Amino acid sequence: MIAINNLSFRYPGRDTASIREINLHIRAGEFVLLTGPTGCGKSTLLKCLNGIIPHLSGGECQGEVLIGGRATRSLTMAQLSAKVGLVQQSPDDQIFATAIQDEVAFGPENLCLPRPEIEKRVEWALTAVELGDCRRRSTAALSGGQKQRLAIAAMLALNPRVLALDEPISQLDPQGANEVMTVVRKLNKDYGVTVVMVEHRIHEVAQFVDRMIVMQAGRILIDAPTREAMAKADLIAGMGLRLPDTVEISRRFKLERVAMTVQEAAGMLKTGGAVRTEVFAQRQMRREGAQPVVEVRDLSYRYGKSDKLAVDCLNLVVDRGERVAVMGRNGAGKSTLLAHIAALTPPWRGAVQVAGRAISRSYGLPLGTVGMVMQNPDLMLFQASVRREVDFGLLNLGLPAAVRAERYSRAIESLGLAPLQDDPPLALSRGQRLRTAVAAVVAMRPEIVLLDEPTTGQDKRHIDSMMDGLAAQAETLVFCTHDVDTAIRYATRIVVMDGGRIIAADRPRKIFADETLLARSGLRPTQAWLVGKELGFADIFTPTDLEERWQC
Amino acid sequence: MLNWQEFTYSGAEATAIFRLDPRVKILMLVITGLFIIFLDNPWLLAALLAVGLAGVFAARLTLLKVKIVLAVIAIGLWGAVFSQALFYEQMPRTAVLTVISPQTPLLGPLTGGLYVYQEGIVHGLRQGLRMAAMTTLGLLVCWTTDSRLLLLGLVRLRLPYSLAFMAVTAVRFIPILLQETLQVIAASRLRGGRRFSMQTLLPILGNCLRRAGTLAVAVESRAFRAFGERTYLEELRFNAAEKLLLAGYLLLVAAAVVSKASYLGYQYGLFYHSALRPLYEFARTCL
Repeated sequence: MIAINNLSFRYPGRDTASIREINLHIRAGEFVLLTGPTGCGKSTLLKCLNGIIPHLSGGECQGEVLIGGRATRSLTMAQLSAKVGLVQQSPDDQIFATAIQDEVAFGPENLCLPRPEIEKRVEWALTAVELGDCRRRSTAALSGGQKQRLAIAAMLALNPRVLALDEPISQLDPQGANEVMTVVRKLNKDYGVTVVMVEHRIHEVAQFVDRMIVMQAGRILIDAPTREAMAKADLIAGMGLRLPDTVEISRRFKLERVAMTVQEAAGMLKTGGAVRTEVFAQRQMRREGAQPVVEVRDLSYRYGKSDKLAVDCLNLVVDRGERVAVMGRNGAGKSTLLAHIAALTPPWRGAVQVAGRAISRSYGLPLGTVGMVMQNPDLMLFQASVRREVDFGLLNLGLPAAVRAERYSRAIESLGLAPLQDDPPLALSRGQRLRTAVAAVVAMRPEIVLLDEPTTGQDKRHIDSMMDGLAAQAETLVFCTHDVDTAIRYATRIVVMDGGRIIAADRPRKIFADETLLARSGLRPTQAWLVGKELGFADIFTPTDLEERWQC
Repeated sequence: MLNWQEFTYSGAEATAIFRLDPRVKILMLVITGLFIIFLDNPWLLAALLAVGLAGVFAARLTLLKVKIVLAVIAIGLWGAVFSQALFYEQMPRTAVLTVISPQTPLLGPLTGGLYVYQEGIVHGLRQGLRMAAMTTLGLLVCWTTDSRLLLLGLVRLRLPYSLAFMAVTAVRFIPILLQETLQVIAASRLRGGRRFSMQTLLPILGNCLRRAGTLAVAVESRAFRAFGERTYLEELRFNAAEKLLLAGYLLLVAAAVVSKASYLGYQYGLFYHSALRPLYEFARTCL
């Protein structure tokens, strides 16, 4: 179906090629995962499949890409659109129609198909992605997962034989990601669509794919069936990619073969070994004499008069030194809660106190009380260099030069930005931009740091370096995230929201052991927890936990 | 914090003005735009503005949108009247207030005196009312027409599809742009920055470019402009009442334009007929 021969490509204005001498053959009906660290060239390779490169890209392209035996170079974009459908990362940026059926009909209309045929294709595509019953609804009313499924349907309506997906689940909550992956797998298995997916969240997609291609520095490093590729787990983990828990368990326990499912991992572990008897130290919910930094009392807020409540009679206390992860579905009210703590929105009903000061319509917070890292860090970077970006808040605080210099140096060093101080922030890589935004916030030493889904679209290495930097610099932290591993690793407490209310607040290990709660709030248990459950162990949430509990 | 979500909410779906065929709304807006050039009577211009405002209220738009319309009207009217009142240059002109006397030290000789002119106020009022009426009607059409129907309406009125698509898509992304602007301002404020500065444009523009790139890839991947023409899933059909409304409005405007044109022909000595005197009188006093 797809043949790539000696393909190299260099973007205009770049000195080095983004992909180099790629040779690849993908058979019809395969489900291939294309992965690797940020900047390895995987998205560039994907754009070569549907002709975006070289037809619309400029740059220098050598070698050839054949789709169904025909070179992409010799086909027009219209011809290619009927062969390869490309779905991109952000559903909001690629959906432009206001009604669902219009979005799907756009492609067939462009191909001048007769109306009955357009009607037929719209119906089929929406049914295939399980949106058949809402074709006349507004696209704005869809959840993140539904929007991404709509983007897939819009491509399916062109009847392509290949679906190219560029990080389609990176901006979705676990439930949305699962919906999308289930639909993609169905398209692959039931409809025979060849799928090529770029994704660095290997742990979420590995169970679905037949074959894994791992790239590094523009070249293919591993190309093998998934299980075989996972046998090189050390190499993959070394690139900063997150392995599925079952693979990590296989690696740590040196199992005879790589386990791809919970049942396989549990089955292999059951063949021998005993459990350590010590019990994990229980962390207390609130320490004696704890000093509250945030106190939210009976907070309610709605955006428009006719909208439902975004937060509904919400109560929360965050103590100094706590790291609280706020979790739940998209639209659960997490960001609205953060906006209130940051005093960006005054309470409609109820009260919010931060560092002992009540927030009202007429009274905000003194500068430097709250620091906030937004979901899209690019919107926080408006200075000409990293140095000026980090120094911006410190200057506005009016600190003495010596204090300013000390805080600046500490923030820059803890986030590994020392070599980049004179670079323009927006010219940096994704992970570096995120760290710059974090450094600019923590340098001001706020009483509390808020993070609004900072892990979205970031690979494990970036997430870990950001969170480590934050843990070293910020005393009290409240962060919204869909990333279960990050929450378990960094949070001292998890607050679960649903429909604007807090439905649970407890230690991470207690929250992630409650399957009913997780299902209700759109979260999923970790694979390690499921393996532990199969083995009859409680309190297993990560491969490290399992390793610690296991006595060989 | 500005509630941007209220901006994206139409709130007008249940009203008659929302259900009107988009072509009727677009054509009436264009006809009014041409007609308004011929009008000089401030009362009639004010009446057109009142019609626009009545439409805004009848459409039950959100409070934020009503506030935006009122702010645009106030700023437009004040700006036009203020500038024309002070800097009106046609003759005759009657000074009704002296702002800077020619005898004032330094400023007097420098400006030659600054006055508020009666004719300038009236002229500014005409210009301001023209602008306010058209802005109100334009916003009313945009906010009571689903963007897909606006696109279809423009295409059916023979606007090239690419052009119509670009215009409508740009409008569709305005709320997202607004949301991002608010986020940049919030991020800047939390670090002690001003509410808005030129620097805050940098991330907004950067994100716009990135989004434009994503959108371009999305549409090109779906055979955009693959052929000279395209087919459509949905069709627009005028109903009898809409046809009647459009024809009636067109007739009314045509009659007013003919009256005004006859009067101008008479005024400049191009054409005169005694039987048309009532028409000249009507155009002179009312239009």
